[in-house]
Amino acid sequence: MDQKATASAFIVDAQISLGRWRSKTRRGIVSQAAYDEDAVTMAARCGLAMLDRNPDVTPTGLMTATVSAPLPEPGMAPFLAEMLDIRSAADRPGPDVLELAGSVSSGVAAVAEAARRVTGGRGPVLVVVSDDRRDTKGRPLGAAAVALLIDSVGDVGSVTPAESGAELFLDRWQRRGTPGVQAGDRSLDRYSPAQGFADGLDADRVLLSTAFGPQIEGAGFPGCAAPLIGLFASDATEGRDLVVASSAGGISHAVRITVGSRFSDIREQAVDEISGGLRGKRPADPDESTFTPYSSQAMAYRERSQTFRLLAARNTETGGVVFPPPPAASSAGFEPFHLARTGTVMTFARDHVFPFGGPLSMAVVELDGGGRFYGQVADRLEVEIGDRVELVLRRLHDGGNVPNYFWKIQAATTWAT
Amino acid sequence: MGDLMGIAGEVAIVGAAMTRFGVLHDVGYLDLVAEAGHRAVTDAGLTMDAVDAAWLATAEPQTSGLIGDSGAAVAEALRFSPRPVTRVSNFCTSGMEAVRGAALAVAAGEYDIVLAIGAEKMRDVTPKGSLVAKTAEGSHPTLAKGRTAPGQFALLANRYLDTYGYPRHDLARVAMKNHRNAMSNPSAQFGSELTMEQVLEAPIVAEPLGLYDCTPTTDGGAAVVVASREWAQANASHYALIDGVGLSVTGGYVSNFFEESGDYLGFASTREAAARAYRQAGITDPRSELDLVECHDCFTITEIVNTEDLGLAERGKGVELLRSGATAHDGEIPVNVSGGLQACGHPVGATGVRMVVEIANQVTGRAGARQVAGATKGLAHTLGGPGVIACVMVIGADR
Repeated sequence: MDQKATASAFIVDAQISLGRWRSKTRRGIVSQAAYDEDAVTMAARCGLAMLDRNPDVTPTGLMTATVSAPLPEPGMAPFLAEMLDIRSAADRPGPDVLELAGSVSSGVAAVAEAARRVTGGRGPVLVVVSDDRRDTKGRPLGAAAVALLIDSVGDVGSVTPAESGAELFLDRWQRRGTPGVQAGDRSLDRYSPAQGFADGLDADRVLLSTAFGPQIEGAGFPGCAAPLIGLFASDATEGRDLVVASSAGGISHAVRITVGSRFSDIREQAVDEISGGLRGKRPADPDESTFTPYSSQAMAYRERSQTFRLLAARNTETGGVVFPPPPAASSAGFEPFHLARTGTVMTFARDHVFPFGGPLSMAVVELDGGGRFYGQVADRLEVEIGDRVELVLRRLHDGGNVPNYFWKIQAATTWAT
Repeated sequence: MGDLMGIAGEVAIVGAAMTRFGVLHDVGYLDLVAEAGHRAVTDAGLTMDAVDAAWLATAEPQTSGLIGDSGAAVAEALRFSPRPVTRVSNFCTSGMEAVRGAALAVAAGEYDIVLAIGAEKMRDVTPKGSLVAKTAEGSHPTLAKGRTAPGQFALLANRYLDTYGYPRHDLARVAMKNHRNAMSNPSAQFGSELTMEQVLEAPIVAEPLGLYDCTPTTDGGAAVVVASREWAQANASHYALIDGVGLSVTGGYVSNFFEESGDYLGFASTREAAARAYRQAGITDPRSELDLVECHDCFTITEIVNTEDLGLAERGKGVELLRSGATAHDGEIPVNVSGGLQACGHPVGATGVRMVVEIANQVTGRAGARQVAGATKGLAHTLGGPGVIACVMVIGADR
């Protein structure tokens, strides 16, 4: 039986980020990724929100979990580590980056793992859990990410690893090369070890997730992220002890949470995000089968800081911002400067001639704090001069047979600024 | 800078010619080079043997199977071996760069007679397969989605109309004027009048720019023969002098959009290039001292802001200049009497050379049906890429 440990890891902050669409399905309203969103882009959004909102906390570890990384190898962690700029601590040689996968219970496992590291003096740790989950026909089941910042002090709640378990039980699975998850004989579900695992936990209240539930109205069942969205959308109140348990594919993990004073703020944001998004018929994916844009892995490697972290340069005398930053040999008089991801539309164009996926709105944004951004308006929406907007990571194209990420423009939300 | 020796007043245009512009499926890239080159040399009263060197402008040879990606095309088309040929590419200013390069060589005293040729074969592929696909697929990966020429200039159009409060139909006036002008230019791609309704109701390309706000996709060639003033005075039956030339390059494809300097109401490159050309030519009031202007009207908005950047109108007053009729063929300062890019078409490498041909012919009284009466001084201007390169050349009769 689980021993109640003295908590020494705490949730500092958390944010959920759903796919852009809320789509009606026979399972109710589920979150659905836009054609240019994936596990990485959803994770980016909430991971960046954690760093933006907590400038005094510098994570030295990144725990990620997904079963739907657009590149199963090397997964989503390298993209996130680059973008979130997870740095090494003074007493350790490199950043502590770990990606869990396999079962959707690895979302809870990532939180447990982070708590263990913080308890062992290896914090702060950023946990980012993300999935774009689909069925065998590619239909949406839920697309969402959750980010949690965990450290030795925090007032969203305390977190302590509880039980883990494993046995062979194929309730849901996904074959390599197929679009989504499949089930066999659903009457087998009642033999799942999940309920037994939950019943074995010493807790007043257990929030149990399996490979297929619970269905969260508005979010659906977004894989690894589902148990944590279930937590933050729950009616838990300050001071309550509860256990978040996840058991899928025979793999089970649980963490014990004592709800803190700021939990209700996170819940409010979670409810906002679930009730937000775009509704109506999601546009068909643009046909880009004949679009073969230039791509270079050497260039992508060399320019990773400017691409993922919008690293620019600022003239120390005039304050003028230059992006991309000038070549090293021309950089005298400039200092590194990161472009803000919020700003105001200066001008725009709605382009009907673009041969792939148009008509397409492009905009020039005057960024808060200096510099500009020129790029696509996401989701085929339109903007006007003076609109407040934010930059969101999207998959621009698949040139070179890899996802090429860059920033697109969408209407500003309150929590991302 | 460059005041000891230079082009200004010392280099003459002694021969000038252009091919028909249009969708020319019956002629190839080398045919365009050959026709323009031979006709310009003939216009100078010379034979090809007399030419010492050549400059070739072709901006994007990938639309013509990479023929024209080096000076080799001139050797091939004009049987020019073994003489030196330099190919230049500088966005839409490429053509004027060929003329400028040839003129610099003459000014330097290296050659006596130099041929500058511009040619572009864009319509061996469909318009969508032309520069649109090239910019979309060939660009830096982060610019690959969304950047097109109409889209870039629509940014300017929206900002301009919003800032100064003009309606979209003022843009249409540029297309109407230039298409009307092209009716007296037999080499132009288009040659019929447009109504305001036709312009406004045409399919949208990049809002607010419709089909007739945009230059078409065009094949064509043009060439000029340049020589020293002394040579021209002694030998030429007709010639014009390059009174001043300025080239300005202000930024790159990416940085242009991300830096805070641009106001999307005009182009610093044009203002810089014009300042240098005017200084060399001794022009202090271009509107009264110039008799006509050929400027880069790739889109209707471009002509409007160019007239401001060239000093023909104050910033924000280009529309009023246009409305007043001052830039019409019979106006006080005619702009694009040839029909401009709007109606001549825009074979990118050829365009700047064509403008120099037009102004040289106008200031020597050889412009035929579209002659601006009494013209002795004119200006040619091209603007390249997203407006980061501009070349301005003042060309006049020898007085």
